[in-house]
Amino acid sequence: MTKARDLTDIKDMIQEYAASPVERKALEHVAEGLEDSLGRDAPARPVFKAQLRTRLMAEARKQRTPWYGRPVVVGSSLSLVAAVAVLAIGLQIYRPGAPGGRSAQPSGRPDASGVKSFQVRVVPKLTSRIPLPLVTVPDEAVPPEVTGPEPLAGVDPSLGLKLIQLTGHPDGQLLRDTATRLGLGDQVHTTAVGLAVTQGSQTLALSSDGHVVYTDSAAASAAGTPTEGVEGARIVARRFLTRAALPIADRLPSVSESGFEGIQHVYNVTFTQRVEGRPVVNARAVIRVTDFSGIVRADAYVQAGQEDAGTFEAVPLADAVHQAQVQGGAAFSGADLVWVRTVSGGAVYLQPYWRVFGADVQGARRVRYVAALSR
Amino acid sequence: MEQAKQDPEAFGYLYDLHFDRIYAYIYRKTGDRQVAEDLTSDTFMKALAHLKGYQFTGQPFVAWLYRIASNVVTDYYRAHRVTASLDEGLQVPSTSTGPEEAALALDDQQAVARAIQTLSPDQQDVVLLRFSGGMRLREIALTIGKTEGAVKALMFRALGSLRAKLTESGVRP
Repeated sequence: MTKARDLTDIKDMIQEYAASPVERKALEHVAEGLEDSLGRDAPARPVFKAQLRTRLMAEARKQRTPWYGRPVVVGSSLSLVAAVAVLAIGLQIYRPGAPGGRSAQPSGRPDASGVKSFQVRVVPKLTSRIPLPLVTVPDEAVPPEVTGPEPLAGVDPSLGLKLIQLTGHPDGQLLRDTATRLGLGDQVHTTAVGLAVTQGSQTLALSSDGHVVYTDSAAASAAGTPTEGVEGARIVARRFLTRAALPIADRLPSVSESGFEGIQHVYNVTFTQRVEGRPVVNARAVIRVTDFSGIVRADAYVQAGQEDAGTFEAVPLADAVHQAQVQGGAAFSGADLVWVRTVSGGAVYLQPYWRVFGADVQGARRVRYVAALSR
Repeated sequence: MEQAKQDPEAFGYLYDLHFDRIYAYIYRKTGDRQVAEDLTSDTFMKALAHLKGYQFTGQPFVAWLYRIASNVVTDYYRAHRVTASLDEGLQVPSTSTGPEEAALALDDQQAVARAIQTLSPDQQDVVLLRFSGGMRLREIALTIGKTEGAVKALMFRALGSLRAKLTESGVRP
């Protein structure tokens, strides 16, 4: 079932039924209002979603016959494949000295008989055929507003983590609409990474992964209304996103001063999108606002919903911290889960990553990103 | 789908895939988070209980889930005879430029939600499946078991009613 991305079918229906152009226009406005109002997420509490999943899984297991009781010979070939897979996983689990040891870990403390006991964890089965994209996210300084690892918000990584494939394949029409809203005309030309519209000092570009970049080389020297500090910069940035009809993902964007550009002081206003309560760390909307209300540059991402999802085995938190630690450069301890936006094979994904917190030798706080889905 | 009948993890995959849409559909029909959670639980529990009887007839699995959800909501209203408390329950994300405009947008969205609740159940379904569920008109027809022409007529009348209600509420339709 495809997520409808435009109102063509509705507009065709209205055209077919409306008695007059005035009624047609009015009903199209209603439809556009509904699309805007109801097209937004109505997110559930992550803890509820996780708890219901756990209840359903428990109920499902109760209802099912154990795999060893199923008629493998006369049943579907799927049962046979599943049985072989379980056997193979079992062999992997019990192979002495298996690297990683995540599936079967020695408790480390011998029991009274001197033989190490093994606690076998349930291995979450891969339930998705979505290819797992690989991306490297560079280390970052911890933003001042981030105090430390966030709670996992109802997520239990031992049950697997979700990879989300996003809808939204931006095209020339979307760029034209945005450019028109910003008063740039609609003459789209092709660039090395996508499409662009240029008018005078302003350029609006859209890459195939939905990344929108607006630049205005004259903004740093243009006179305008003085921006009133940090809150003023937030207002200017929000107005820009609204005017361009780009998503405003954050009610209280962070603002930092980034020095002078030309003769004007520039603020960076950063909007962080959250999905299921967790931040998307590498696709923030960043608007560079001058102290005369000009927009020097804006990076944003077009709206996208969920098209598909799959569950993968997760890298345990302790392993992620260890992986961060062995790369050196800082001492790492706690971690939380965040989303990283990745592009692979023409599709865009949100993939969970561990955000591992640490400090370098100067004591500066750093975060390092470690892939949370096991390959 | 067949795998989900035998394999709990496969059912978990279907849950991950469709939970957000089903929850949003129920939440927008009831306007109350707690009720939406209860009815979403009922929907998926019923889906699991009846999964063995599910037969693929050309309709997508999510259409089957929507039908269960729709029945669960109808049963709830029959049993409780309540009106949803939208002012308290409905939370909508803001995309406005400032606190005042955010408040205005919130008012508008609550007015939209209230207006939708005045529609007939069939009209509510076509509006929510289209604008919240993202289905096209022919997909809605498959889901609710009506012809595409009937769905178009329901949608057209729903838009007309909403236009009138929103104009009454002072919201620019």
